[in-house]
Amino acid sequence: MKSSLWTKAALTILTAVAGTLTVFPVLWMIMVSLKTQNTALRFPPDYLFIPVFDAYSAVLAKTGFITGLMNSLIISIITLVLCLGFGLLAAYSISRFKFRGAQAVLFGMLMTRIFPPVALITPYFLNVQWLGMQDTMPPLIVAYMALNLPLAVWMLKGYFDAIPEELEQCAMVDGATRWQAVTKVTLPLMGPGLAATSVFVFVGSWNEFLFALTLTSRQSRTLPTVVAEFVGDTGIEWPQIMAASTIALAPVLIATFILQRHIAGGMTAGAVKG
Amino acid sequence: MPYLLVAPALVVLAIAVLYPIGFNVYASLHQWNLLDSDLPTRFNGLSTYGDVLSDPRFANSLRVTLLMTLFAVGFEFFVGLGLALIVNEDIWARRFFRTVLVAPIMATPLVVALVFRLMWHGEFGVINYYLSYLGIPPITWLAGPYTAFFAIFITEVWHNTAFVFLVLLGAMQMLPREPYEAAIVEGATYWQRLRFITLPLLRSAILVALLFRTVFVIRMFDEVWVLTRGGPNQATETVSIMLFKSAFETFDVSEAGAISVILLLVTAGLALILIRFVYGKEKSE
Repeated sequence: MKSSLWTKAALTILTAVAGTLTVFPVLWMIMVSLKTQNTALRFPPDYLFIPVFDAYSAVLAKTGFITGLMNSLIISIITLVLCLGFGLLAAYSISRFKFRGAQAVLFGMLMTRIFPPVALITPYFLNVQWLGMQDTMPPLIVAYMALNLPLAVWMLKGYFDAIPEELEQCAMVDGATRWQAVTKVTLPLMGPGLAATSVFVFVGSWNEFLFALTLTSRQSRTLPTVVAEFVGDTGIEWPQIMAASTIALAPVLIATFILQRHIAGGMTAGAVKG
Repeated sequence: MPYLLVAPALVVLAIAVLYPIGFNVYASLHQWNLLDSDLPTRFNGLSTYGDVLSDPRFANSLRVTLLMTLFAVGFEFFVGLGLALIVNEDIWARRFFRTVLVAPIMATPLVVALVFRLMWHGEFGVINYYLSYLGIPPITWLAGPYTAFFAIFITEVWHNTAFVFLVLLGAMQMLPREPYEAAIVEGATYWQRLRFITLPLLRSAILVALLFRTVFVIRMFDEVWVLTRGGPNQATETVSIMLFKSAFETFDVSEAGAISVILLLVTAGLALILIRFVYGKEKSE
């Protein structure tokens, strides 16, 4: 829609202000991470300075950090693979067979997506203890699958719906089994959708704090819990905490950037498009 | 066959969602504190619910949660809508701004909390530093009841306004052009078009944005935990935080169970509204 040059300039400036407020905390985090404890907390701050990587090397050398990083990676990847597998099976079934109860399953899953995880944590924690599985990865992986499966199923169902069943039927008429039809015809067409779903599930596990906080203590600590513990140390080393935060946030920001078009639809389980 | 394919997903949800819900119901109906015994001692009927509902601490946590939800969702809605309307116009560098404004949307909540904890710091906080330009003396934000609430509120809206913005912008970009062309011919002003065309057409997107934000503010945990742990003196103790403390600080499994069940019922109600008014349409189509 047309608007005068002045309106356009005013609106652009307003947006720029909002944009500045949005990026400031991220820039501040990175800035502090590249300074030393002395220079980081000095005001007025040096906006231009020679970056030092002391905080990063200190964090990487800290006990538990590399373990936490690796645990986060392992847990997120295993969760992703299992979630995608289980999610594809369920989504395909709901999308193609339209069986009795399919709607109920779909909405039941949406319901579990809405439930606050904190309301499930006590029973889950107690049962994990009784099974003697505290501070191991499997309980975390199962929990993260449960937290992310509803989203994965809804997203994948949407992508299956968008691909006409006739394509599969054609392949099957030509002698392909259903398995071949799906893996050779449908899934390759769903490439971008699969990628978007994967990123969502990965970030979901990567970001999770509450379950990791309660279910792990040392060996299986994930990155967010390890970073949170740095704050408890005596004499908080802010550059180190910001360095650890930057490392934790980097993959998420990259994912957000790549995923842009899929985020709204993904986060609302397909309630809105675009 | 179709059931078999859905089964693995359902088993996972049964283990990690349905079973814990049942467990909560059971725990809430029994007397059970881990400090006294490993297992529930006796059937207690609904009396734990009575205790929780008449507990002033629970009333306080409800009030904190309700206020936080109202303020945060309200702010996120108006600012998100405003920004979406602006970015939907032809301003300079639209795509760039869209990318920038969306940046916090998936950010790790714990990291957001840590960064803001440093920024709100009374002594080394950059927020106090900028406020000093306005002649405002340093504030120990996280130590005062109102300032701590405000700090969490700002942290929350920084993190999540992007969601409302993105959902509404996405919906705006799919609106039909014809009603606008007709309205312009009729001489409608921008505000009239907004009031009578844009907002009514955005109704379901707005509902989605509001409901999802409400549900997610209710469950907010990481930010409060890192910034204040519910303090000072329970001034920022949301229901989620109180629930966590009753399970892991006072080990009162029945109380935690009862609060969980209440929380689940509230969110189930919100989920039903969502299903009925948003997804329900697909079903009838």
